[in-house]
Amino acid sequence: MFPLIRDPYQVLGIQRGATEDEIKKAYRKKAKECHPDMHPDDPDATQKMNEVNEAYDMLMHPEKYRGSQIPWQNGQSGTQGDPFQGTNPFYTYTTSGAQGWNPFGDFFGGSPFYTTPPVQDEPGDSPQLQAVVTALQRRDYRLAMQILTGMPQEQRTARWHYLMALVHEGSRNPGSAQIEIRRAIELDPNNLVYRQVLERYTHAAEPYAQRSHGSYRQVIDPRMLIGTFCLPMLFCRFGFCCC
Amino acid sequence: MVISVFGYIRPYMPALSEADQKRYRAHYCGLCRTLYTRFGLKGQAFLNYDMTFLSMLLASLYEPAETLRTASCVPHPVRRHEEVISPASDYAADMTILLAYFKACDDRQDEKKASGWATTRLLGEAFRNVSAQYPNQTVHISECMQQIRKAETATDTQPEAIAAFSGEILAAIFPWKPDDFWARDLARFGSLLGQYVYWLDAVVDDRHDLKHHCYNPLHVLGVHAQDMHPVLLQNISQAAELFETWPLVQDLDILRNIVYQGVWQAYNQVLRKEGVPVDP
Repeated sequence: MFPLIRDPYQVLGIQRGATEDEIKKAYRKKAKECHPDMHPDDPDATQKMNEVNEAYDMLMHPEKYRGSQIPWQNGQSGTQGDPFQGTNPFYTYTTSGAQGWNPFGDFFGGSPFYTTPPVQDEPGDSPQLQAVVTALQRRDYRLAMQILTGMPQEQRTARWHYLMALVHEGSRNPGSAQIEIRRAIELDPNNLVYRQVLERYTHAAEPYAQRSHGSYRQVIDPRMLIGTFCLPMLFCRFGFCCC
Repeated sequence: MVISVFGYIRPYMPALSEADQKRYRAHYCGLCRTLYTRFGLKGQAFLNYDMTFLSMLLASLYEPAETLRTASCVPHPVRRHEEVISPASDYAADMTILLAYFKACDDRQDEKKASGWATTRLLGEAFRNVSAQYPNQTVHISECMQQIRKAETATDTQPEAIAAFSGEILAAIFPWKPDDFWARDLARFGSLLGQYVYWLDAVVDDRHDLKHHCYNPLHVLGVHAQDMHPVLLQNISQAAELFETWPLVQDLDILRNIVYQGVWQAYNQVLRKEGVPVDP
């Protein structure tokens, strides 16, 4: 991986140890200063904006840059190899042409930065399940899904549901992954691996519960109306009474 | 119905300060005004909370120049109120029309509703203009809907596949600028939120669908409303995790209120109606 910049703190104009809020505010300030729309006559404006974006990305997603040549991390260059196989993950700002991610084409393709835990063949795996395991190891979630959904109902064992959970997890369908792993546990309640996966999912949602202080479980506001579309002249959702 | 715009993505007003309630309303009314300006009365008919959220989120992420005006309107002729208008509300208005048109096509085709026919005629020209300006979004949603129809008519389709395709509809809408640094993140956020809405709508429609023998993914899975809490939590918590990495400062309290509390109101209402105790 070859980042555009060497020191994200310097690019954003902040000190090492800055909090997340400080990083975000610094980004906002730099984005206002550097945005190409503010400098239509500056040929370097796009490059500067990309550097600001990259600096922000480095500080907010340091896991993406492990193993890359970034001297600012602990003052040393990365030596662990490039987990992203030399591809540039940046979705850089350009002034023309769409680049990079096609949402539909990426469906079931998963993210290059998000990997499911290692999965291995098990004794008794059918050739199709072995092919699914191989596809999962290569992060080819589309192929894994295709093989699994092509298997008849009678072959959809606990193992099938477990592998489907991993496919959904890799494809960023976490609710569906939850459904599948619970089905796997129903069919094989003593399987510790399946329970560990469920535990991992539950643990991953804890920051959300902490941020909301658990309040999300109680909120109901009868004042705002749920409904399908309706003419605002007759039925603005802020009610007749606020005239 | 496959188009995932049901009004679930809205704030929990009692937890907002008065200033933030006023600010949220200004965005909502700003979107209404924008729909009227761009599409006339027929555009306003499709005003909804979900696209208000989109407008606010994009305005917070990109901070485009906004205009704040004070005005009255037909439903509120006496008390003047604030309206926030910006290029983000323009985009949200355009996406409102796109989704409304596709929803009408879905109604027309699958449910043979007369309203579907009427709406596609009403919005035809507006849709053509918007789709010419946003071909990526148009093609993506159209393909998703075809996949959903194919999945729904197949004999052994799993609801999870339909959930994923439904998520992709919002994944198409949320990225404002396709060649942008934030496009991938916004698409993923949209996908997670869209899946949340799909499952939530299944919960809200559970009883009705059971009574009227309509398809409902909960019936296929053999689960009930109270079983869906972890599924909803997984989707919204991952969306929130992504949301928290963005440099949002403007209207952050309102946006957090929506993501952490507001989106749960419909689900909690269902549980309360069914007499299911809620954990503290």
